[in-house]
Amino acid sequence: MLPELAEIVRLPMEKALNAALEADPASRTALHGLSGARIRIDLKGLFSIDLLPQGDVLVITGNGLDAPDATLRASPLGFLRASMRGDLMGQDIELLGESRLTIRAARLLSGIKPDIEMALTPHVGGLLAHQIGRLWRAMGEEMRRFAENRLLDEADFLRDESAMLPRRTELEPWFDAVDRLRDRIEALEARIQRLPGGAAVNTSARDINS
Amino acid sequence: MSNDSTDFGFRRVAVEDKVRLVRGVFDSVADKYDLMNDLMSFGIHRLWKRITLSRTGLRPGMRALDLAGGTGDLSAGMLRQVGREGMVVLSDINAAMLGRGRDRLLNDGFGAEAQAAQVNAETIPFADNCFDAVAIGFGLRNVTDKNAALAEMLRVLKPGGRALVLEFSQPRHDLMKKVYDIYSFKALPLMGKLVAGDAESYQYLAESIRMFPDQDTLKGMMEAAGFVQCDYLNMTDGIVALHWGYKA
Repeated sequence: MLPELAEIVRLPMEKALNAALEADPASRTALHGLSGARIRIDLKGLFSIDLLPQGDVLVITGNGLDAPDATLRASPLGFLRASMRGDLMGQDIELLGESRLTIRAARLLSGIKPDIEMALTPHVGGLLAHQIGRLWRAMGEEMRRFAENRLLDEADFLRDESAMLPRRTELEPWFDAVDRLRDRIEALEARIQRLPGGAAVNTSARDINS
Repeated sequence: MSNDSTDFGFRRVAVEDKVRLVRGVFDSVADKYDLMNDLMSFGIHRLWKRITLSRTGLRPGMRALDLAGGTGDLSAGMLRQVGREGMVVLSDINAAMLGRGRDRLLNDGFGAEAQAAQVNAETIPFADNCFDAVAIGFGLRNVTDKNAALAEMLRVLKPGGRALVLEFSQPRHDLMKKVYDIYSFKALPLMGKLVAGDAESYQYLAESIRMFPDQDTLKGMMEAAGFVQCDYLNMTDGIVALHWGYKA
């Protein structure tokens, strides 16, 4: 992509992020701590952008000439999923670079909720911006559901296909056995308390229980 | 006028006259400089400068020199990069342009970290090795001795420091060259006449761009001056190119 066109794409993103930061004092404070760092968002196989915290604002640029201090790398879908969940520190994102800085950057970005409608309104008008905003929120909801379903599917695979995890039916007798054991210990504790000098023996019964 | 002459647009003038003539051009356009930049480039000059700023490598606390800084677009961006603990010197040989740039930085809320100095790029009045980055945006083509300016930029840079030269260059495709020629020699002077009341200065702008070395020549000049790892990025099909190089 021509460098100028890339800038034109980045500008509304930058405005949306900064508008969100303006309304969020905690994130703005966190941003100050990252001032001067180069944080790279790398969407594998698609493109990557650099975020440059500068005081109160976040500048979005191309990769430039400098190596990043922190990199958040994911597939486009993985990144979208993590963004929609509002958690850039989950399994979808690979964090690279100086660990403390990288975690702070991921935390900061997780907390930012850009108002897509507000950012787009000056460029495309309120009506279209509202429709895009609705689409964005719907996509977010869809992604959240997708992530939940994928988690359930993966759990099913581990349990039923690969047998790496026990099935519920296998676990239930074990849970029942644990419950029975707990009942018997409580009954034993009660009997011991009734014996003469029970208080002294009680301590050892409690030890067994724990 | 053979050995001691230089180009002023398409004309050859005495070396000692070029500074005066260039000063005349910028005295004339200073009032409408920003407006004309927006009009002439359709606002794209802001993107060219953003891309330049993304490549300064500046961090909080660093020092930068903006040569031929004019109304301070690059200085303002670099000041945000270096923060309150850093320093940016906005410099220009033209007092009228420098005054507007300094006022703009003050109006933008910058304080002691923003300095201004009237500087001839051929004889920079700063010590060796004192800046982390030196940038010159749309200024080098107006300098009489470009090699001297590049040598001075290298001298004031710290080892490892970076020089950035943002300048008009040569379009890469023939079609673009033709469109650009018509635009430069017909539309620009007309715009200058209508908006700034000065067609001649904008005629000079178009001519000086054609006389400026192309991308590879300028890269070679930077290497000859002593910069290392020189390279460039074409923008808008090469109408503008950003060159960079480092001090070893």
